[in-house]
Amino acid sequence: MSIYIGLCMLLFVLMMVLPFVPGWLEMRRKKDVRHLYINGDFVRNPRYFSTSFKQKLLGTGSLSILKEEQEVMLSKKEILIQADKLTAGQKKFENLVFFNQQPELLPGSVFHKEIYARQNIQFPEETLLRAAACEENCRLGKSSRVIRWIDAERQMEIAENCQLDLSATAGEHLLIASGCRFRRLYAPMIDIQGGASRLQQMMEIAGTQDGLQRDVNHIEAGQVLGGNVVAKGDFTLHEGAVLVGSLKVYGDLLLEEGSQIQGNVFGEKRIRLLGGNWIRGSIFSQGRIEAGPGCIFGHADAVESVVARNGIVFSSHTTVYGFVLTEGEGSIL
Amino acid sequence: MVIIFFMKLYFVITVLVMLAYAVRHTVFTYNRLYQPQKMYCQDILSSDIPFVSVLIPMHNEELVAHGVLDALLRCDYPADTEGNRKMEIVPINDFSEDKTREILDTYAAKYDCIHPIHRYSGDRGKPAALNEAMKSAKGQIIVVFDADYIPARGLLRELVVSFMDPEVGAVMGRVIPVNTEANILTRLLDLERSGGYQVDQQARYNLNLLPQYGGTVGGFRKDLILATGGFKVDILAEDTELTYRLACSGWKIVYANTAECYEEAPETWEIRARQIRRWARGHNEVMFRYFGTLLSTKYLRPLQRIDALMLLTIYLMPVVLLLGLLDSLGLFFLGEMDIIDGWWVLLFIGAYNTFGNFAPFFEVGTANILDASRQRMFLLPYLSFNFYFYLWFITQGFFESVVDVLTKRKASWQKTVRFRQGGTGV
Amino acid sequence: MLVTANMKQTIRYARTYRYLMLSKVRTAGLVFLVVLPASCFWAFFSPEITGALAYISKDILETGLGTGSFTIGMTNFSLGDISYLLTEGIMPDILFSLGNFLVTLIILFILTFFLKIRPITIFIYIALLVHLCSCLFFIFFPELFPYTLAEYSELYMKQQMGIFICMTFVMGCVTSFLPIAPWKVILAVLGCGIYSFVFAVVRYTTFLFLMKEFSVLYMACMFFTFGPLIDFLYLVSIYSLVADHTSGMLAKDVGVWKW
Repeated sequence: MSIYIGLCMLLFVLMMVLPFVPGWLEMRRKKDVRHLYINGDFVRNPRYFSTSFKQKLLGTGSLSILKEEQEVMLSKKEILIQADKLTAGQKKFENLVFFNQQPELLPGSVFHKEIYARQNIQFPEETLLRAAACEENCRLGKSSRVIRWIDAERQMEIAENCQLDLSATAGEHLLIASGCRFRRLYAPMIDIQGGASRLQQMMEIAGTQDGLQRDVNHIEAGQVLGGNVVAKGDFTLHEGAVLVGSLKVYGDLLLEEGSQIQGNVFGEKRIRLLGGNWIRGSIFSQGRIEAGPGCIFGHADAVESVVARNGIVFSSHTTVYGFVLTEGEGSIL
Repeated sequence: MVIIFFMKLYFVITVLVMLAYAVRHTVFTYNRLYQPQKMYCQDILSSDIPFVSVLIPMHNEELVAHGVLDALLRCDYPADTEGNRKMEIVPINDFSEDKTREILDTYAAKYDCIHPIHRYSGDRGKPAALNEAMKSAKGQIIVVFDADYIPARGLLRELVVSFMDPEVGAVMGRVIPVNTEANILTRLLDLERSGGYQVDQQARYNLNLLPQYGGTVGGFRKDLILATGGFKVDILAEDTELTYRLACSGWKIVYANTAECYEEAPETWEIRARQIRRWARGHNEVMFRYFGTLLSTKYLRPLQRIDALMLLTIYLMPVVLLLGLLDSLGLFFLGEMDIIDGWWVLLFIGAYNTFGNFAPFFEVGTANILDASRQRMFLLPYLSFNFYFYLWFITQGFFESVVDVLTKRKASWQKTVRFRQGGTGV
Repeated sequence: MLVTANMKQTIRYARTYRYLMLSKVRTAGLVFLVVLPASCFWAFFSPEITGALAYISKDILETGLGTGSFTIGMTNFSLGDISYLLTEGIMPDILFSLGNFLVTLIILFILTFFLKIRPITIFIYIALLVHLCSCLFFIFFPELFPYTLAEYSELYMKQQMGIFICMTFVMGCVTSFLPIAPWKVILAVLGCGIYSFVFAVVRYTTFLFLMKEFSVLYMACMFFTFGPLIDFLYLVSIYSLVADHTSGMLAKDVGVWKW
C-alpha cells in the first residue's frame, strides 16, 4: 500500500468524522445547552404594561415624589423628571416624566419616554406619547397618538381620531370616540361612542346549552335555538334570532339586526353584526369582526373578549365588557 | 422472476411512500416558517371559563410529587362568584409503594382543592387510573399532567380556554425538555421535540389537519370520553387512541403552541429504547383499531384524512423501511440493483426526511431558528444514528402490537423512570 | 406626527407564533437559477465528472497496486454516460468467508451481551448483520455472487451520480428557503458539492483498494453501510452551520419577524 492510498483512506475516515466535529465542540463548550426559557410566573394581564411599569418604578420604594430629577431602573437606567412645574411653552419631554399634580399640557406635546401621573391627567389634542400610567382618570385629546400603551386606574377617555398603537386600558371604565384606531383595549366596561343603550333589553333566555348540532346553517327571524352549533359553511342569524349556546363557524357569520348569541362565537372567517346584537360570551375570529351600531359584547360583572386576527371595526353605541384585541387594525367608525 | 418483480415493486413503493412523507414535512416546514400562523385562543380572557379537574397519575412519585402540586396550587385560574377557584387537583396514587400516598394525604389535609384518589385494586396503569378519577371528577374539562411536570402559572387557563369553542374535544400544549444539560441523549431529544412541536404540530393546526393529543400538558372534555367508554385499558397509547376517537367523531383537537410546559426527557438510552418501543406498540395498536374507521368517517375532509392516515401509520414506516432495506439487500445479492440505476439513494433521502427522528433535519432546524436557538443545531448529524436506533426498537414494538392484536394480549403499563430529585423544579 | 427611533415602535415577537416573510421572487430565482442548474450540472457533465473521479482514483490506486491495474470503462446512466474503473477483485475462498463469519458472530455476540444500547451500536450491529449475510452467501453460493469488482465499480458510480444530484438538490432546497443572502445559498451548495466530490473520490479509492487487496466479501457492507447515509452526515452538518448563522442573523434583526 502506498502512502497516497494510506492518506486517501485516512481522509475518508476524517471526512466521515468531520461532520460530527461542530457537535462535539458544542457538547464540550455547552454554548447553547440551556433549556428554552418558560416564564413560570406569566399570567395574562391585559394591564400588564402599566402594572410592570409601576412595579419597576414604585416597587423598590426609593422613588421620591419631591425630587425634581432622579435615576430609576426600568429595562435600563433612566432619568425621571418631576414635571409639575413646566417650563413655559415646554412641549417636548425627552426623559421619563412623573406628575404629582394635574399638569397643564400644551397641544402637540411630545413625550419620548413613559409618563407616570399620580392624579388625573388630560393630554390635549395632537399629543404624541410613548406610554402613560395614570393612578386616577386620564383623557387623551383629539388626534393624539400613543406609540405603546396608556392606562388609567379608574377611567380612560379617548377623544376622536386617536391612534392607539398597542394598548389602551382602564381599571374601571374606558370611553372611546369615533375615528380611533387600536389594537388592544381593556376595561370592565368599554363604551364606544356613547356605549350601548339597550342593555336592559338584553335578557338571558333560559335554555339548554347541551348538544352539538352540525346541520344548521341559519336561524330564522325571531326563532330561538338551543344548543351549540358547528357550521361548516356560512351561517346567518336572521333578525331577532337567538342562539342559546355557542357557535363555531367555518364560513362567514352574519348576525342581522337584533339577533343574539348567548354563548361564545368562534369564526374562521368574517363575522358581521348588523346592529343591535348581543354576544353574551367571547367572540373569536381568524378573520375580521365588523360590528354595527348598538352592539353589546359580554355581560355585566364579567370579563369577556372580542378577538380577531385580521381586524375589528366597531360602530357607534357599542359596549364591550372586557377585552378587545386584534392582530390587524382595529377601528371605530 | 415474479418474486424479483414484486421485490422491485416493493422497493419503488417504499421510495414513493417515504417521499410522500418528505413532501408532507416540507409543506409543514414552509407553512410554519413563512405563513401567517393560525391564532390560538390564548388571548381570550373570560370569567366564564369552565371548571377544570387536573388529573395527575402517580406511581411511586415521591421524588417529584411536590413539584407538580406546588406548581398547580400557584396557578392562576379564575374563581367563581363566591371566590373559589374553578378547579380541583386530583392526584391519582396508582399502586404506589413509596411515600406518594403520605405526601398526597398531607396536601389534601391542607388544601381543599386537592382530592387524591388511592388505587390498590383493579387494573393498573394510566388509562385505568384516569377512568376511575374521571368518574368522581367535578370538572367538565379534564387536564392531565404527568407527575414530573412543572406547569407555569398561566398554563391551565391557556389550555382550558380553548374549550370555549364548542367543537374542541381536546387540546395539546408544547412540551419542552428541562434536563437538556444532562447528556447527549437529552440534547438530541430536545432537538426532536422542538421540530415535532414548534413546526409539525403547529403546522398541522394551521392547516386544519390533525394535531395529536399527547396525553400530558393537554386536556379533553370529560363527558365525551365517558360517553364512549372512557380510556381503553388494553391500549398503551391512550393519547393516540383519544386523538383518533375524537377526530373520527367530528371533534377537533387544537394545538396550543403557547401553552408550554417543562418535562423530563429520558436520560439513558435503555429507558429511551423502552419508551419508543412502548410508543410504537401502543400507536400501532391504535392503527389496527382505527384504520378502517379513519377511512370511512364522514367527519374528515380528504386532506385531513390523508394527514390523519400518515400520522396513524408513522410507527409503521420504520418497519416498511426495514423491509425495504432487506428488500434492497435481497435485490443486491440477486444482482438486480440496476432497477433504479443508482437512484436508490432516494430511499435514504425519503427515509431520512420522513422519520428522521419524527421530525426531519430541516424541521428541527426551522424550529430552532424560530426558537432563536443556535449552536445546539450542530448536533443534527448525531440524530442520523437515531435513525437506526428507532428502526430497531420501533420494529420490535410493531411486532409486539401484532402479537397483541392476534392473541388479544393485554399490555402492562410501564412508567418512565424519573431522574429529578424532588423540589419545585427549575 | 414624527415618531423617533427611541420611542420603541418595534415589538419583539415571542417564538410561539412568529414567522417570516418569504421573498417568492428570491426563492424562485434561487431554485430555478441555482439549485436546478447545479443539480443538472452533475447530470450534464457526468462523463467529465465521473471521468475525473475515475482518473484521480486510478492514479492514487496505481501508486500502490501497480500501473495498469485499472482501466477506465464507460456505461450508460439514465442521465448520460459515466466512467468507472475496471479491475479484478479477489473472490474469497471458503476459509476466508468462514473466518469472517465467525469473527462477525463473535463481535455480534459481544455487542449483544456486553455493550450498552446506543444508536452507534445498533448501526454497527446492522452493518455486521449485512456482512454476515455476505459471508453466508459466499460460504454457500460463492459462484452465484452477481458482481465482479468491475460491476461493483459501475454500480458505485451510478449510485454516486444519484448522490451528487440529490445532495445538491436537497442542500439547495433547504438553504434556499432560509432567509439568507443568495450568495450564502450558493456557497452552501458549492461547499456541499465540493465535499461530495472529494468524499466520493476517497470513498471510491478506499473501497476499490480494500476489495482488490483483500476481498469482494466486503462489498455488501460497503455498499449499504457507507452509502448515502454517510453523505447525509455532511449535508446535515453544512445545513446546521447555515441554520446557526441564520438564527444568529435573525436575532440581531428583530424587525424581520411577523406575527
